[in-house]
Amino acid sequence: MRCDFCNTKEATLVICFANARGHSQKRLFVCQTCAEQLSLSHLVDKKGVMHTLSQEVKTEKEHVCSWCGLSIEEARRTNSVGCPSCYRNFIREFEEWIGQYQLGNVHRGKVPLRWARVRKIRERVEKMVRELKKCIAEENYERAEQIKNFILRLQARLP
Amino acid sequence: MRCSLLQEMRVKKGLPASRGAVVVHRNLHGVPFPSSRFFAPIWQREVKEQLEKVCRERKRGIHDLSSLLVALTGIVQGEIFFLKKTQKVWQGITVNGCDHLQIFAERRGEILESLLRVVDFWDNRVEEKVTYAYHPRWGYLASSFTRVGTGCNAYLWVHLPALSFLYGEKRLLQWFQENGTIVVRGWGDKGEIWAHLFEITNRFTLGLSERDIVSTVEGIGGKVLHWEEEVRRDFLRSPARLRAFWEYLEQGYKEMARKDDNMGKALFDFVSLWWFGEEMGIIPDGKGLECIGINHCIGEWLADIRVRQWRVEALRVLGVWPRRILSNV
Repeated sequence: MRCDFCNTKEATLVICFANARGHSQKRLFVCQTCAEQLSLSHLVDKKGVMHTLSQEVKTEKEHVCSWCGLSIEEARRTNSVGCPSCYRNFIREFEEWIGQYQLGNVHRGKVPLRWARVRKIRERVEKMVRELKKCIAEENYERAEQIKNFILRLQARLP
Repeated sequence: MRCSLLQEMRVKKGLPASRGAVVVHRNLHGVPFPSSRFFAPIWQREVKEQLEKVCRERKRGIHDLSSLLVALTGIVQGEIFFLKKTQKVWQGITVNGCDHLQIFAERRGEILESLLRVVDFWDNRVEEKVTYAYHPRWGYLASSFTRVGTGCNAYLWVHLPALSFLYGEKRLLQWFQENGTIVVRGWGDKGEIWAHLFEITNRFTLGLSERDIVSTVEGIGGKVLHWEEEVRRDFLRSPARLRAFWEYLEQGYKEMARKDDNMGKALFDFVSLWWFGEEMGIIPDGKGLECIGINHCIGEWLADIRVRQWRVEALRVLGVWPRRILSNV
C-alpha cells in the first residue's frame, strides 16, 4: 500500500481512527519519511481534517498536496504555498511560476550548515569515484580497493 | 524614551534622511507554513518551543516595535520573539507572521552590509538548534514564491524632497524602473509616493546571493542620495528656485485648504517640503509659514484621522518631521 501523504513510497505504518463504538473505520497509510515529519498530537487533534485530507488525496491525487491538502488552483490564486512538501509535490508547476517571479531557477547564496556538509561529502564522493575509475583503467587494483572502502565510509556519513 | 530616540534619529542638518533594513524569512522543516489552513495553534506553539532553545536573553529585550520602520510598514509581522538594540542597530526575530521566522536588523543610514552580518549571525544561531525548510534547488522555502531562495529582502527608505521638487516623482520613478532588479514604491495607497519618501527593495530572492541583493539596493540608494545632496547644495544658490519653492509651498497650502479630505498625499508632501525648508534654512524660525498658523491646521488634520497615524510615526522614526508641529500631533 502506498503512503497516503506522499503517494510515492510504500507505507510502513497504518493509523486507524476509531469511531464511538470502538470500531476502526478509517485507516491512514504512512511511510517512514512522512511518519518522521508528522506529529502524533497533531494527528489526534486534527483527526477530522486528516480524514478529509485522505479523501481529497484519493479523489484529486494529481492536483492536491499530499501533506497539507493545498490544491494547485488555490496556490495559484493566493500566490502562496501551504507547506515545504508543496514544493516537492508541485515541482513542475512551480518551475514555471517561479520563473515568472524570480531571476533564476536555482538557488545561489547561503546554504544551511547541514546541507553544506552533505554537499561537501557528495563532492568528495564524486571526486573519489572519478579516481576509482581511473585506477581501474590503469589496473591499479590495490589503490582501487582503498578508494572503494573510502567511498563506502563517506557514503555512510550521508543522511 | 521617545525624546532620546528622536534625538538619536535626527539626521545631520542638510543631509538627506535614510534608513535601511535587512529581513530574512525562514521556515521550519516539517511544519506547515503560516499561510496554510493547517497552521493551527498547535503548530504556533511548536515553532515557539523549537525557538526556546535558541535565545536565552529573550526576556531582556524591549518588546516594542513602534520605533521600527519594518514594523510600521508591515514588512515584519507576527509575534515578537526577541528584540534588542546594539550600537544603533535594532535587531530582532518575530515568529508566526507571514513565515515562521523573520529575522531582521534596522538602522539609520544607507549601509546595509553591516545589517546583513547581524542578520546572518542570528540566522546561524537559530540554525544550530532547528532545521530549516530547505530545497537544494529552490533554496530556503517560503510561504510565497516571491521570497523563496535566499529569503532575504533588503529595504532602503530615502527621503528625496529636492530631487522630487526639481525633476518630479514620475521622472524619478522612471529612472528607478530602468533597473529591473529593484522595486520602488511609496507609503501611500497603492504604493503612491507620499512625503517624497521612496522605499527601495530587491525584486528577486532566487538566483542571487544575499550579498548581491544587499549591494544592489545599497548601490542604487547610495547613488540617489548622492544626487540629492548635490541638488540640495545647489538649491540655495538659485534665487529663482527659492522663489519657486515658496510659490509651490503656498500653492500646496491653498490646495489643502480647499479640499475636505482624501488629500493625504498633498498634506504629507507639504509637511515634507516644510521640513526640507526648515533643514535648509529657507524657512526661518518664527517666520514664514508660522504666521498663518499652518502648524495648528496640520496638527489637527493629522490627529483626526487614525489611518494617517502610522505614516506620521514612520516620518518621525525616519527623522523627517518638522519640529514645530511635533508637539501638536
